Amino acid sequence: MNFGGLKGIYMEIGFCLLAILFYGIVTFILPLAAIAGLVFVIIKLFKKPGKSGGGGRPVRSEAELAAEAAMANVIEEAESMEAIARRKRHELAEAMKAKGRLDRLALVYYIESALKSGLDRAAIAAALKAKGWPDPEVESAFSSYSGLA
Amino acid sequence: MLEFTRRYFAAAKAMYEAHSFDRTPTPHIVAFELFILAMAAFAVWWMWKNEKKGVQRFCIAAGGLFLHQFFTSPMWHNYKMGWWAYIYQDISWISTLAWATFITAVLVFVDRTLPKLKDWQRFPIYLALLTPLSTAYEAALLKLGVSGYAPEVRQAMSGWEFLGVPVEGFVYVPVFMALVVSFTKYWSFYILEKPVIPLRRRPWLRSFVVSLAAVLLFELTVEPMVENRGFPAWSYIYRDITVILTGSWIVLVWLAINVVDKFFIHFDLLKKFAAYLGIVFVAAMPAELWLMANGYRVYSPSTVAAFTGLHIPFTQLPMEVAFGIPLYFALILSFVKYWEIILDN
Repeated sequence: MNFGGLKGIYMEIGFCLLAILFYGIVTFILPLAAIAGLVFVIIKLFKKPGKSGGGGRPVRSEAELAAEAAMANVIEEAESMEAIARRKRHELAEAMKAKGRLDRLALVYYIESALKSGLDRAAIAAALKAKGWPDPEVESAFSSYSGLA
Repeated sequence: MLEFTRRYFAAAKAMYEAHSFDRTPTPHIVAFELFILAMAAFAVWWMWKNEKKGVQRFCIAAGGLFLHQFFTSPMWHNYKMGWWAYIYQDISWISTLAWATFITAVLVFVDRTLPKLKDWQRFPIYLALLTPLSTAYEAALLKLGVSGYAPEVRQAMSGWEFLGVPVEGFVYVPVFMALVVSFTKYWSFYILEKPVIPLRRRPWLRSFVVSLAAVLLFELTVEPMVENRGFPAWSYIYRDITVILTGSWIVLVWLAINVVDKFFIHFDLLKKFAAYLGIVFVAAMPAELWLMANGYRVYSPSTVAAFTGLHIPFTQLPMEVAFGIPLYFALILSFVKYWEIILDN
């Protein structure tokens, strides 16, 4: 096939094709995606008051709560350990965001990655205190992290 | 669909032909390319065998290099490397591999031989090793007739040379290397999942000083690409670098970093970086458009010659400038953040 008199397609022409494609993505698809994202965020914001966790949640009967707990157990057993950890992480993040405690969430994430990298608890606590984090804040972050581990 | 494909290929062909230059290599150039490829292949193999996520780190170095090459390509030329060597205009992937090999080799060598030194102490050692290595590479390219400089760059040179390489290279190379090394290190932290300590109180002043150093140094090296006109005479500090414009970029980088680090403290390095870049881009793109439209920013003839003619819809902003803004700031932001991370951890 001869596209517009093109005899051979060399790498540089390939890159030009990519550049035009990229240009199309940036100038047409990305703005559309941004508008769609904005609409999604607005819809989510309007929906939030009705279904937010904690105080906003409707009061349920004991039977409903027991049934929900039993269902949660079944689901939990079915899930892999990894999925549980992921869910716990997500729940913790949501709870911290709801409380406006993003700083504590950052501490929990730091503790998680520092422990993974081989640092011990005392070294992590010392490093955080050296950066001005108060003792109770560091301890709370460790206890929040232990809920994840 | 076939008609669309035909037009698409025709546009790519036109873009290719608009930037034709001598691609015919000499036997010496081919031999040199084979040597570079062998060296890069060995580096990749060694990194794969001996370093954690070594191949990814090599790719990060190559990516950082490519960003810099893409952004600054109107300042120099790379001819006669053979049709196979080019990926876009005269930017060569073989050259990208050569630079990535140097950077990776030096970083690994210094990190392994001086493990007790802190990161900020190793940084000048990286630059001290990379500068002569880069000078030797540049001297070889000049000797082979591959490398050359745009007229605006030659005009800005003093004319003094060392081993056939302009002495300005001894300023340009460490700055360019500092940016690419920082980029490589920042993203290595991310892929190696290095714990980065969250700060309770942001060091605003220190952050400003690092942002100032990054923007000012980078502006010095890319100064021949664009001319800043019409600013008050008192604001020019060196050639056409104006404290108004450069100061605005410094404040923008500084604010973006501090706002994101303050209000999105829980984000990981990737999300934070995307947020910094997003803020900077949203502010810098309309500013650049306005400055260009009003004659305050005039791109040099070599830079304009490299434009493909594609514009951002509904504006007169060339695609290269729109893409160049995030590339320019990606290197600066990674430099500032890398320095903040190594000073705090």
